[in-house]
Amino acid sequence: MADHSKANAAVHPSEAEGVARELLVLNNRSLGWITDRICGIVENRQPFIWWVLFVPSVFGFCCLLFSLVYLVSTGVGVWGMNHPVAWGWDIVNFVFWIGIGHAGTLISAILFLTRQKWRTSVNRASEAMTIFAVMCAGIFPGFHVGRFWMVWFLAPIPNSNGIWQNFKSPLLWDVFAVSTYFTVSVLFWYIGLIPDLATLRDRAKGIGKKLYGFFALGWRGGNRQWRHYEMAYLILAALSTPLVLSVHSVVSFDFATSVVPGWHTTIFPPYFVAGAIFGGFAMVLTLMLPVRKLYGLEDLITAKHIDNMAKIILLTGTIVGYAYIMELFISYYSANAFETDAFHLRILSGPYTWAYYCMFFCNVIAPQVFWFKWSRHNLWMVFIIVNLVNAGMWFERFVIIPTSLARDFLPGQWGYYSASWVEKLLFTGSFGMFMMFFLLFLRFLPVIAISEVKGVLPESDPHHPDWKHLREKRRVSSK
Amino acid sequence: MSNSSSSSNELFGYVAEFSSATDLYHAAEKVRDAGFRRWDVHTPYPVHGMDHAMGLGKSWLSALVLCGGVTGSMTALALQFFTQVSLYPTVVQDKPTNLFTIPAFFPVTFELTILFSAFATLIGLFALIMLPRWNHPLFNSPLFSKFSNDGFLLVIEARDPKFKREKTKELLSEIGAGKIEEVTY
Amino acid sequence: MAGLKDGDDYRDGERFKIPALLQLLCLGVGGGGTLLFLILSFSMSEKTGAMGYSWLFAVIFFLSLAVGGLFWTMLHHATNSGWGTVVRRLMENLASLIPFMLILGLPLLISGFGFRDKLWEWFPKREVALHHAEEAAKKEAPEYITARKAEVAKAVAAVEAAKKELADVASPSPGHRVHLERKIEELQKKADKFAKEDLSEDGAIATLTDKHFQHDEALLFKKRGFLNESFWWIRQIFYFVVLAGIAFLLRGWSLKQDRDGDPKWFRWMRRWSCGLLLFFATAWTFLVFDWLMGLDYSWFSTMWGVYLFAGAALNSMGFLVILLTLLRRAGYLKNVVTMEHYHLMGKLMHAFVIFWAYIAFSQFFLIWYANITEETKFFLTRNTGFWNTYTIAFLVIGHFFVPFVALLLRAVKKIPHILSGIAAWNLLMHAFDLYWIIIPERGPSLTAHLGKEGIAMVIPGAWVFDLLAFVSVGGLFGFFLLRQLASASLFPCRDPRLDESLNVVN
Repeated sequence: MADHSKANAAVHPSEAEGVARELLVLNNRSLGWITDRICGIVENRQPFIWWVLFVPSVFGFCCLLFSLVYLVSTGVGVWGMNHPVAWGWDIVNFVFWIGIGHAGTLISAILFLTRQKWRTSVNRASEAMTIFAVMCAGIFPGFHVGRFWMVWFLAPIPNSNGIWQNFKSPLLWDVFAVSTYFTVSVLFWYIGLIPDLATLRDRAKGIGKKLYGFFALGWRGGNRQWRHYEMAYLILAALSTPLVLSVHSVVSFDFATSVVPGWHTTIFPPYFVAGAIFGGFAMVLTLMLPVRKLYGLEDLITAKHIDNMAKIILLTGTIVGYAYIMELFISYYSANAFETDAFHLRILSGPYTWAYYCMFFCNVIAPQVFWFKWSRHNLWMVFIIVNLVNAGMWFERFVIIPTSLARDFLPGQWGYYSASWVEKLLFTGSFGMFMMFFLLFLRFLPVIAISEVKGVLPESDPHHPDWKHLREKRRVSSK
Repeated sequence: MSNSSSSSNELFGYVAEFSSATDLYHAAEKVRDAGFRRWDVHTPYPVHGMDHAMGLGKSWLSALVLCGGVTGSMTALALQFFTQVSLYPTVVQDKPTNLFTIPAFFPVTFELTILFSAFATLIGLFALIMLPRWNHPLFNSPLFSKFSNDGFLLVIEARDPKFKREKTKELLSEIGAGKIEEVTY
Repeated sequence: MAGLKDGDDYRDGERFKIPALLQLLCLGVGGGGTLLFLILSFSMSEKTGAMGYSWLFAVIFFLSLAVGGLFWTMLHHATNSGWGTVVRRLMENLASLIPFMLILGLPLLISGFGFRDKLWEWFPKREVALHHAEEAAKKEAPEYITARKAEVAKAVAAVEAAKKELADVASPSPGHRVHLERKIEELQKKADKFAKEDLSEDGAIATLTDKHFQHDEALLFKKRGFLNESFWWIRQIFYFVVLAGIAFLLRGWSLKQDRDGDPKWFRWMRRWSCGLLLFFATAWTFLVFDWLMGLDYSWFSTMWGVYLFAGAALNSMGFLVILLTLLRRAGYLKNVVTMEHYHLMGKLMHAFVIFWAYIAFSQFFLIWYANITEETKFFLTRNTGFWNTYTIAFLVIGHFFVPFVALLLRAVKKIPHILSGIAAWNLLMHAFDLYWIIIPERGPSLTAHLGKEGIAMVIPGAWVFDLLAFVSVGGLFGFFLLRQLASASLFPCRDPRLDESLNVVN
């Protein structure tokens, strides 16, 4: 107390083990290095393996187009769905893809609001992933309507029959939720891209300069621009956060507003959202682990980033586990014969019991490995677990949809559903489309948000390392 | 291409380079205190606290967004009430065709609120930062293009009433500028 | 004047001196009120039932604040966060009140006080049904045993007869032989099944009791694995051990770090918090299942645990804001907490106002939309008459719209007094929320035996007890809180993240 030397005196050596904050960019990289490394991906020739992945992806995309043409020209009868299972792989895939998208918004919006600076090196790629995943998702319900050329009936436009949509239907909410989600995600992504497009513009020559310049809109990086830009970014993050909650909640309403046993339960909205983020993060890691290796981004996407994402997978996986347990418990506790039977059929004697156990293992058991630090730092381990999660989240939707439909209230209506080759080809094709867009994104746009990563370097803060004078200003006026 | 030698064109202003965010921050404080109005700092990323150093207030974009949001929710409510209650009332899902189904209208109302707010953000942002503007005198400066890589630049425009050709240049050197470049139209 | 001044060493922390008058007031109001409440409940036996609901309401309100404190402490550690170190001790102090609040809840759990059977009707109903079933079983047992034995004998005889039939046929055709063998097999199975039944007197009584129990109270019979007294007590002990235990552990380690400044404690708290969150979630979920959802044992909602968690977390944060402002007004923490901390806490409050509304709306919405009888009853009670106005005014507008709009403004979150005002409003709404959960059950439950004519939605005059209970538990809560505040430094003075937290800028 004799020493008048302020707060720092109270501090324990903050370099102590497990206390020090880890750096987000390793090896003291400079601003210029960051620009060169990230822009280099776009400017240089793509590695051979890019082509190895790209060609099959385009082929997959062609499969998708083919199966869609076949579907529309022949009719939805080519799908394996029939009475009583009228929602099959198409809705499973829809929910699967839309869920994947949620991690992108979580990283770009929620982690932004909670000031998680590590998000900067993965947010761009995950936002891109969101957009492509929502595009894949949109295909399935669009074609599920049967007569695809009548899909405009979904939009509230006055028509010659004087018919209006039923705004009390969860399926219409879905149309609004998904289209809003797609639009806002694209806006958010594009606004984030503007400064980086300017960087590419200033480095490019010829046609590239014109193109990047066009989309950079003449960005000049002045603080009079940045201050509004930051506000816009903050607002979009604040808008996207409830939006992302609402989108998967609305998707869960498709099921939960019904009276179908196994679908109607109140925990569905937060459970779906947690599951979506869970599955989305798994997909982010599935994509980013190879990208990081392929383009030498280890200094930007560090072990710390992977560790954090693995922890989020553990957290959300456990929340999903909580929801599974709650569903099981309440199905017992409700003592409602239909509820009890629905879950009895799911876990003990039903035709899809195998799917339930696949789901439970992949989603709840497997991620528990991430409690151990060594597993979060072993890239192969992470890669295997996240792929189990990818599969598990698909199975979750599969468990929910056909299991409940295949066993209706009346035993006379019971049936079994398995997908036809068209559905399988469509699903495979949607992966092709997703990969194709993602690879094109890697080729033409900066995979990491350049300006944002620069902002989290320690020396980027003008007050580094003396925070004190700023603090004086911010102290609450004492009364 | 213009640099200090081509004085045939009218002067737009000075671009001065600083070595770090910290230097630029302190320089900005001094330019602010010198009473300049038409000037700006150009950085590769938004520098924390720079608004304060430049003496800028809070962005009022959020007010625009609020207007957008209110418009969105009103649009959605109007759309749903007119179509569901007066134009095309149908009793489905055991729900009445009157005001009391309002909980069922929440999802769409919410989504449209967000959608309109997002568009208001986009349009408001472009209006406030005056983009797109593909052509600007600053793009004539070779030094200026460093801002998008690792340059910390300060630009003072000649239109500023306090701008004096020599004095301003001296001021810039005084406050620690490295390279200083004249930019013409 | 108390409190750190510029230049003081932060390493010694800051000590809180209990204002003697305030302490006395809290103890007087709390202790006196509690005593009065218990005396009244014993002396006015016709009001005991109504008073049980009052006490539950008061205890769960203050318990939820304490549990929220525990949640924020654990979240702080689990997310390895830096901003909140200066307010973490307040969270820990809040959490350390959990054992006191659970002990205050004991009168509800012990049937001798007369509250338990009125609150959770499944206790008396189950008891009556079981008693009746046992009586009937005892009466029917001898007859039943004779009858069953005769059936067993008959089944065995049938097997023998079938075997004899096979033996009697000299040379059966292969088809005939298979047919007879199958018949024997089936009859044998049936006989074996019959033989398995325990036909001793106790066995028969058990079988018959179940049968009668199921007949009388089918729901309680189906739920008997969960809703029975011994498992109930095991669960209550589990809640106490988990919730109080975690609070005790984390606060203990934090205090140890105050003394020796060893970062080891910091690491321990961080590591353990993650795993213990699982136990925390389980304990709180089932506690509110037992205490609140159990008020009507036929109603259920999977969201229930999350709903009560959302309210607890939100209002615990609000309570911290108020506590902080009061402490600062008394001259403490002035150089430690800045308006950045207020801003952050305001943002967390805002987030949880939205989260609470999201959960509350989803729960209501799904039940309202699907319109299944056994689920809608919860909202049917609360969406009619007086309670409907109440819901709209206090939950929709008061609990969501008002704080949501107010907290949208950035300036509001940076002015301690205004933020505390909003937090106080939220606390009031939280009380209304819990009141809305508990009290509408009171009228129908207590008057159900009067039949259709006598059933009342509201017990007239019972609100006096609600108020009394609230003030009493609140007084004791304040008393214990003051003592906990004074027992250690007001902030974790040797935490390795203290510097980061002191200088937080957002």
